[in-house]
Amino acid sequence: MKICMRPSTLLWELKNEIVKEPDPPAGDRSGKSPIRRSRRLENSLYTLAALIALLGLSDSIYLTVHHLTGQDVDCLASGSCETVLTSAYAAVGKIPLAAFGAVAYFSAFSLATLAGFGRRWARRLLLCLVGGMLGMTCWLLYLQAFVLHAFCDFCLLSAGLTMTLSAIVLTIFFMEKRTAHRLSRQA
Amino acid sequence: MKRYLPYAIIVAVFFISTVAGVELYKNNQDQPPARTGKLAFGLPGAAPPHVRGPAKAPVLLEEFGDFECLPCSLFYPILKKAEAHYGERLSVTFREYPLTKHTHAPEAARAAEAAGLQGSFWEMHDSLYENRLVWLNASNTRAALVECAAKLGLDMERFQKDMDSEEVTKRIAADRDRVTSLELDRTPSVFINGDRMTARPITDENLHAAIDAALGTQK
Repeated sequence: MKICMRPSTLLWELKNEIVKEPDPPAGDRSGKSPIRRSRRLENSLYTLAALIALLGLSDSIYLTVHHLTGQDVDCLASGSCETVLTSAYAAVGKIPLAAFGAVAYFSAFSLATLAGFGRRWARRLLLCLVGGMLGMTCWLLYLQAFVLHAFCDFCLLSAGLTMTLSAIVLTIFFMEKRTAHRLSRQA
Repeated sequence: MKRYLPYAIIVAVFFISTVAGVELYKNNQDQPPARTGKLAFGLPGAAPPHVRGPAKAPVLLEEFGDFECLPCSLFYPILKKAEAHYGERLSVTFREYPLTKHTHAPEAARAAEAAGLQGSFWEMHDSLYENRLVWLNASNTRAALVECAAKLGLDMERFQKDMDSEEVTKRIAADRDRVTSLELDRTPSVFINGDRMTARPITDENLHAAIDAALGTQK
């Protein structure tokens, strides 16, 4: 006789590295343990990270489309968007740099969403991706400040979003470390 | 069900962002309504106009441009190639249309017009587009523009005086009146034998197609 098992078995969860919180210690079943609170906060931060990545994705799509169609970008404050967006650094070959940004932000959104749903592997990948994005952001800021001597509003917005994303991911990383330390102490 | 939820969200976002990107692309390429023949009804603009090529050429191209704008700088080499290709069959007129959102464009327009008063408008026009990033990035735009003019061997004392002259102001204002009368809202706006080019962005292919059509030799 064939036995049908529900997919959410312990085996499946282990295979997919689902992060499950251990049962709170006896005597603290109220759901307000520091570990449970920390997990809830982590999930909220992943949601926030996903939303920020969405904003970055919109910004990058806007810049990519304007680059491809050769239309002016409506610069809001700095007035030197075009200097930056038409520089030699604005494209790699024929591919606008903003297109790479769109791919990076979409990946960040996907990984943050997966991490928020408990996929541990996504957390590690997100950390690496955001690290790379932060490095690239610093390089682009350097180019704007010291090579082009011009700033583009949309690039600055993207830089701000990447920095916020990095801060969130780092915060989660240290929170996880603390939670793991607490769990090992409980064990 | 919850297991598949994140993947569903990711796929949905991918789909929405792809559709949004494609729609934005199409929207940017949307052609403004054709204004065939409207050129004849506009105000005349600065006189005499800056014309390159024979006045009796079968194709007359009129460009309304801004020296700071990116699409104009991308159009510049395309137009140069077309001028070389069509030779005596094409004449080009340039009208000043410095957009208000461009901080350095009015100064550049004044520099081009001041050079024009010494008979070097087109040399300055070419120099401004070829060195666009140099004068745009300069801490002192005016000094960078003066430097551009100096390289053309102009009378610099006169050039500097002309840049602030009433005559230059009047020429730019006359071109602006023509822009207003034609209800233009973007640069570069290009007319070929009085028909507005509606293709965006202007490429070698669609410019040649429009000129060929005007010549009556469209393939």
